[in-house]
Amino acid sequence: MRPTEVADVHPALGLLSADRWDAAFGMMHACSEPTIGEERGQALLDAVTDRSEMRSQIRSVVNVLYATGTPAGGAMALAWSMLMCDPRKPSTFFSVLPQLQHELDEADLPGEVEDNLRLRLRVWWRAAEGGFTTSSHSVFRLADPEGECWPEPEVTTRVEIDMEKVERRAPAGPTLVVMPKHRSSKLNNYNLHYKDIVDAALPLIVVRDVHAIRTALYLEFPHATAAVNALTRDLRDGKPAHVKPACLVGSAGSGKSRLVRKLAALISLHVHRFDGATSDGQFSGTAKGWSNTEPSVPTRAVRQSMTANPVVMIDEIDKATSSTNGYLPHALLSFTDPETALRYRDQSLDAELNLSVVSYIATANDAKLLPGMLRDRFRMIRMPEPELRHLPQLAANVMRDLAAEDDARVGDTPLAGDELAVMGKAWAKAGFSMRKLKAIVLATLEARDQCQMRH
Amino acid sequence: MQGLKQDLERDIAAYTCGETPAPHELIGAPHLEEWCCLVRERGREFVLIVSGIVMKHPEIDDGAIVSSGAVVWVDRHFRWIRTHKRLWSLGQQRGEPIPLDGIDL
Repeated sequence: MRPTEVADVHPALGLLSADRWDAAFGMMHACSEPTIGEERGQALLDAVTDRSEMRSQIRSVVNVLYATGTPAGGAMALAWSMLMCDPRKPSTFFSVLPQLQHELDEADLPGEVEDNLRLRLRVWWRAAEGGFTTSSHSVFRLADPEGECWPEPEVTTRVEIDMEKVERRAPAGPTLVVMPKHRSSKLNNYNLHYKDIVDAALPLIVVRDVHAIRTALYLEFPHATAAVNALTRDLRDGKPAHVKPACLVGSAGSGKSRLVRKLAALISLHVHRFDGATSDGQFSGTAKGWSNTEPSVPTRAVRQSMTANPVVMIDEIDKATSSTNGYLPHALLSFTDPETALRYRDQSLDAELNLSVVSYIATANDAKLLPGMLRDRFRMIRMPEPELRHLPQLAANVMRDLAAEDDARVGDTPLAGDELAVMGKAWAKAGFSMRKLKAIVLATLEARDQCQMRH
Repeated sequence: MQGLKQDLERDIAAYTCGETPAPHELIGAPHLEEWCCLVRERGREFVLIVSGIVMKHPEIDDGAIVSSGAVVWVDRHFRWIRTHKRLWSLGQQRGEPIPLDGIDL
């Protein structure tokens, strides 16, 4: 639709698409001469050099056109009034813009044309607001999107700052962009919620005090100080937390999973647990083509935690079996290789991700069952079984945990020597399992409650 | 609601033909003194409203400072305005008072 065709709908709307005042004047002069007569037409042309004379001439033309008493005359009068609008005098817009906006709202125009006109009319409104009082250009030129004086949108529009977004995008500490936009393709409907990590600078959780972390773990796991040392060997004060792939090997109930959880909690790391025994080959996700497509487990951990260095805990890795869907140790190979993890291509997101600071800690009961390739990549850490001499400390830990779970247990008197002796016998029968210890402590406390003297 | 819209369309058509509201309409319409025009943003679009001291409004006491609704038509001599709902007559425009010795005669 050309400006002349828009002008057929309403001359004022046609004039809105004029890029210069001269062009607008020419357009109006040509179409109104038959109505206003040759004499007035000539007077208008003569007044071109004198601005105030031009204003009074246009004013008289507007009066003449309204006096015709026809809708066409009124429409042209409105268009002529537009020529009197001056960005340096915002009040000149007031008697024009409401009518013009109403005409545009009521006009039946093709979407593209209407959008263009609305864009230009907003500049007219800005001028009425007093936005261009210092400009030396006509409002027609200001409203021309291709004109050199197109107003800067940053200056004229109010920008509302989404503080939540700013804080998410610029955390105080070190950050890492896990999923750079230029290395990712368009997300499909199933993965839309991953748009939050696209190009987002995700925080890296930093280790604050390695010594304090180690001390806390020694108290919690008095039987496994060597394992604690081995597991925390890679941690450095003030550096992002990252543990090289490690596998805790020990008998059931020796506190392997608990150690991983406790360590992560002390550093405030997110733990994503993956069960090696029951999960099939889902570790590296399912391809984009499938309707139930899902990204790999480390990617999911990053998305859930919104941090770049979560911990992926693979429980019972020695129970993983080979299936048609894949084999867990094979899937782990590309994640645990530092070079590959730096640019891991997720088959569901179809994007290259930097998963180099994700920590993988596995637990296993029997190291002999692990394939050779995993034993090469994972540092094997033996998790010893607790012994009888660790009982007082471990039992005290269990009591503290029980107090945290149940308010009624707060303020329980510490276990006495005779109680510990009974518990020791029961625990030895149970094979020094941490899980059994909890049950034994609970039973002891309940027995104590029942025998307590009532007043 | 439909009636209001029809009235507005009829009035706009009349104003386009150069007609002005009849004197009795203007006398019956609410009146604004010390008025000024303000541009306001409504979503992505803009509207013009007129604020001033009201008189003869059916729902508002005389002397209150009010703002009109979005203006659809402004008389080119600023004697009246038409909003979506009703016609308003305009009195003196608000301005800086001219001091007694402020003008040279």
